[in-house]
Amino acid sequence: MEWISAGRFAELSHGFPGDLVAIAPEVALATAACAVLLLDLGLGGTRGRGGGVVAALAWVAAVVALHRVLGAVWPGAPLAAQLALDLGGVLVFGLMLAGAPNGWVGLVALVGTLYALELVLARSGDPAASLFRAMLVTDRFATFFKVVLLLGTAATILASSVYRPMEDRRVGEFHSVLLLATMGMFLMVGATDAVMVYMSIELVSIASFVLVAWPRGDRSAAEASLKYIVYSAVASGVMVYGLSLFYGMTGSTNLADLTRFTTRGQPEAGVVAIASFLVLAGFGYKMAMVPFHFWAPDVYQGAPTPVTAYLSVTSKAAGVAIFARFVHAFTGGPSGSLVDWTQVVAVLAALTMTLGNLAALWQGNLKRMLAYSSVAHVGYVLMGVAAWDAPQGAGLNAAAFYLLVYFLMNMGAFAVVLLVADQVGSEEVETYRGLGSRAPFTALAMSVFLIALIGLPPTAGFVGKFQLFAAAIDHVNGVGRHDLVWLAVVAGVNTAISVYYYMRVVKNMWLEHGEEGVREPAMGPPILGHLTVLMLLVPVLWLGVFFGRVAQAARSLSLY
Amino acid sequence: MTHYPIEAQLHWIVLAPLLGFALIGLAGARLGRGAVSLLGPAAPGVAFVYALDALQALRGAPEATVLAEPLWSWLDLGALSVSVGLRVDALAATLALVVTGVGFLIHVYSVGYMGHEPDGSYARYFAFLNLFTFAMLVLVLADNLVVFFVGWEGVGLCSYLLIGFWYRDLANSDAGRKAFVVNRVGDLAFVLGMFVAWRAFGTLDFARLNQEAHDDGGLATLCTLLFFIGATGKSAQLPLHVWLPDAMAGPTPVSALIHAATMVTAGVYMIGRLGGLYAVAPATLAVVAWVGCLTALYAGWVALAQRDIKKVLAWSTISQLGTMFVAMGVGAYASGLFHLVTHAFFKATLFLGAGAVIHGLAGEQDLGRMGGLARRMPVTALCTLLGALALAGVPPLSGFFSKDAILFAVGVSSVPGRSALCLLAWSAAALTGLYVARMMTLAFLGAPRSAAAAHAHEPRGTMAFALLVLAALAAAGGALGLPEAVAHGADRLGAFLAPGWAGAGHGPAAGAGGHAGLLEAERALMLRSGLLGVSVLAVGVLACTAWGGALEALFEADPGLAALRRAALGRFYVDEVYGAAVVRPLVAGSRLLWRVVDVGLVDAVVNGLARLVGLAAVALRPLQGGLLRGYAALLAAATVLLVVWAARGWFR
Repeated sequence: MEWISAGRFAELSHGFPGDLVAIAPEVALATAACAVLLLDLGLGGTRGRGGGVVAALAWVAAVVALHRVLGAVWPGAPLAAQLALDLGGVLVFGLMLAGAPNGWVGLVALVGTLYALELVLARSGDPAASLFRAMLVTDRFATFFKVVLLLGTAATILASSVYRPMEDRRVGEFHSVLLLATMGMFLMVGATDAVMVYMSIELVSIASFVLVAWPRGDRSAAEASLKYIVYSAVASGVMVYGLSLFYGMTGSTNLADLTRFTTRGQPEAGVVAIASFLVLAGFGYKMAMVPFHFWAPDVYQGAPTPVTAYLSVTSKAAGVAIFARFVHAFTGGPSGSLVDWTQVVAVLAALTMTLGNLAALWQGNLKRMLAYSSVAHVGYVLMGVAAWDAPQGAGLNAAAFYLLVYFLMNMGAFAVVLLVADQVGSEEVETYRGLGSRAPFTALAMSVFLIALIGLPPTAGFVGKFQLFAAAIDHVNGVGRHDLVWLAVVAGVNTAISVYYYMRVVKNMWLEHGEEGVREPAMGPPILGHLTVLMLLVPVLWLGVFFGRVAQAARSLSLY
Repeated sequence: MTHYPIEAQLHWIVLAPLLGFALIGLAGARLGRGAVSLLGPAAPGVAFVYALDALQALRGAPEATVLAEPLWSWLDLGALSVSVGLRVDALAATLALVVTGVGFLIHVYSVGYMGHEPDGSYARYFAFLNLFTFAMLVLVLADNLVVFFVGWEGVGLCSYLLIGFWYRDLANSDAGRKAFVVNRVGDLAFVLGMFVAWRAFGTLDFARLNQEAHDDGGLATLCTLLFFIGATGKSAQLPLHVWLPDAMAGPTPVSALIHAATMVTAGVYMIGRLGGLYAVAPATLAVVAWVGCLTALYAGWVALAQRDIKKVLAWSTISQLGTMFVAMGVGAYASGLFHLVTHAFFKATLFLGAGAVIHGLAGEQDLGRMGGLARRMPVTALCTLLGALALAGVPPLSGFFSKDAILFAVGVSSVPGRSALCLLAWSAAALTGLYVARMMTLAFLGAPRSAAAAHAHEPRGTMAFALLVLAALAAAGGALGLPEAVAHGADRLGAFLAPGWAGAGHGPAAGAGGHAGLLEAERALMLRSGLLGVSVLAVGVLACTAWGGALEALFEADPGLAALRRAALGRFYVDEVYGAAVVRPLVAGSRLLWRVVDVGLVDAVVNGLARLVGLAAVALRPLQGGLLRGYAALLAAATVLLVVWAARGWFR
């Protein structure tokens, strides 16, 4: 005990208990991940006596957690709203339990997610803080993304509970890995140290590989996962090389030190630029930004649909968050930066949206089409990142708000794909012919989601896109020129292109008839699936009209 | 700042009809006929009760009190922020009571009138009618122009839906579309007016617009003119009046509620709502007065020649709306609103009476095939007679007092061309008596001129109830605003409304003041206008009966007179002028644009671009070959490219 002095101990444990409290949501997620795994292991996923007890407890705990989330979002909510939410929770969670013998496993995972959500929301008003010797920060920017991530995770858990191939004994592992991936993304959105950046990205990546390869024995899933692993390895390698260059120059892995260094106008500016671009490869891969997007279509198509939905929403949001933080660090000062980051990001954004949209045009498989469309949407979001220094932080705020909206509409579209594939057994656009007459609610919901993805009113997609366009058009560079108007024009053209492939699906659903002779069964009532779609549909429409409060919440995001 | 308990309940006035619409609209025929018959009228009934509460609160409160219930912030876009809130002052309370009260009665009437409809369309009818009530109340209770405009467009939509209610007949849906398109012309001007108002005053809030109004650089004149153009669409004034006669294609209770009592008066209400703003734009007010007066005269002439009983009433509505605009234009806001209220009573009575006639004659609307109905339908005849006498301005029925107040206000106003305006307004009033007399004589006196008329039957139940109540209102409604000349302090409506405009600074004349000389003048005027009403009515009845032959001979003898009658029957060919001047060039232009510009140019360019985009997509395809090596190589190449780009400055 002599080799560690008292002073050294104090230094090591600096801020220790407080920091742990600050990462309570992460701890909750990790705990839930372990609990899911152990419970599933111990109870064998059967509905034996133990399973029944856990199921009942999880049911109660989930309703309580939901109730507390409401308390955190809307303190002093009227009793009617509380009761309505509780009853809704009882219904939805009960349906999860009733749906499959091992439905309780997902429910336990959901409890962890909701609890973490409550913790995040309850601490959302806290001042920004740097934790663990500047490894992580908790600021409003991170908090907003954490809410989006948790909502995405919860929606994924719900969607996977109606995904038939999930009726498998190993669902405990699935949910455990899912929660760990979310935890990794939590670390990503708060990372302020190169080591933390790398570790969190790897945690997310490795968890993602497992999720993608989930259906054991499915060749396409295995192929997707392998491609993902190799591509990720190459991208990570490039990024670590860049990070190592930074360390070589600054002697520190800290992002704040990096900012100080890049904004000083060093003779090493060229190396700084090279290193920045190498690091960019890692983030680009995570966001599926052109030209680092090649993995995305193959992986999205091969992965089980809930996983595709999850990755296309959360992993992208986390990637954008960490990228925005780095751009902020690279360009921390008004001068001295060799690279005009605004224009670099703008060019990448233009490339990303254009390539994503062009590739999506001719896809016959809806999942693959949505994969390309998700690449295109990263392009739109990057428009906000490019305008990160627009007045009042409008760029980043618009990007954050758009990611929330994108979660709702994209997750909704994937949920419909999942439901239809479950009934019809195909993800081809052709199978959507005449869906409007066979399953009017599903078709209507899909139409709304697609219209929102185009960005038309009265949906949330319009509001989100409007803010992104406004941020780009309002952006003014150092010499007072509106330098991102061209990007808004490119985005407008791209939106026009995207109308074609989204509307093709809508047209198939409402204006075409199913093929003669092939009588598909009327879509049955997987009630939980429809409820999931409904829970995503309502906010897409609601935020299209009453966006004031949420947009306000997204407007006050500040980076630490 | 006192708070009134009703302020937290105002939203129920608007919400009740919306809930009715949602329930009936969603559940539709599944609710069952009985439930729809109960729910439909109940919705405006509940709203009426809450509106009464608001009225009670206002009567107990100090003058010019405003009950307000802020609801939520809707848009917050930089300098423009729009909140949604309800606001009830004396003006809004008056209108809300008319809308919900008359609305309730007409809903009740509809239960009987629409009784022959199949279940599905019966439910659809009440859903639309409730939706209309909701939209109209939004318009009335709005606290700013944007919310007002939501209601304004909402009533337009419902009007369109209900005019074309029997959409299987193409003529009906055409009439609906005509109303919709003509109203869009006015609405465009209204929207432009909103832009100008925001530009000029930086707010769209009614209270602030009225208080802070000033006419720097004529912007107030411009925006009030644009608003008035919107009003000419909605309230069917020259030159955008052409849709209202066609709107009679809708069910008769709809004509009574939307196209007589409430929606078409929205333009008048709008001027009252923006009274402070209009007060600083005297040029606009003069335009309003003159357009209203010319419309009143023109529509009166046309009404004189119509053969369809509903068309007579439609043209009469246009004419009476013109009279209201005259009042607004000379600054006698309270008198205009008074006429709005009495008109809602007596014109709804007339329409419901006409509806009873049409119902009793199995759909017959031609005056030429009626006659002698007074014997077969005495109750209807009596009620319609009360409405007709009120319309003709026979004392002491409601219309006499309101019209008298307006004629008096014109006489004492300072509007440009006052003498001419006076003369025209009096002529319009005289015409009213003539066409009313003609309509009543043809329908109810003489011998039946068709089998249907000979076997007409009296309405029963809900229809008779609503008709009787409205007829009583039409007869006694004048008591709301007896002029000062009759008894001191008898103008209760005027006293209730006027303080709302007092804060406008320029406080236009709210009617006759207490000046002794003026009182004397008003008494004389009342005598004259009463005599005029009675005598014109008598002349009209005689012209249709005893002098009928002589009149006919006169028409035959003088080709000029005959041409005049044909022109009046043909609405003075305004529709034809529009057809030649607007519609045909538009169609020809559209055809040209379609054949040449669209197909030849736009389509060619768009298709070419689409092909180009498609080719680009195909060209990109090899990039995504599915082979992992390729992806890794592309990643490496992309990184190298980026790095070289980044380092180009360094190596320079």
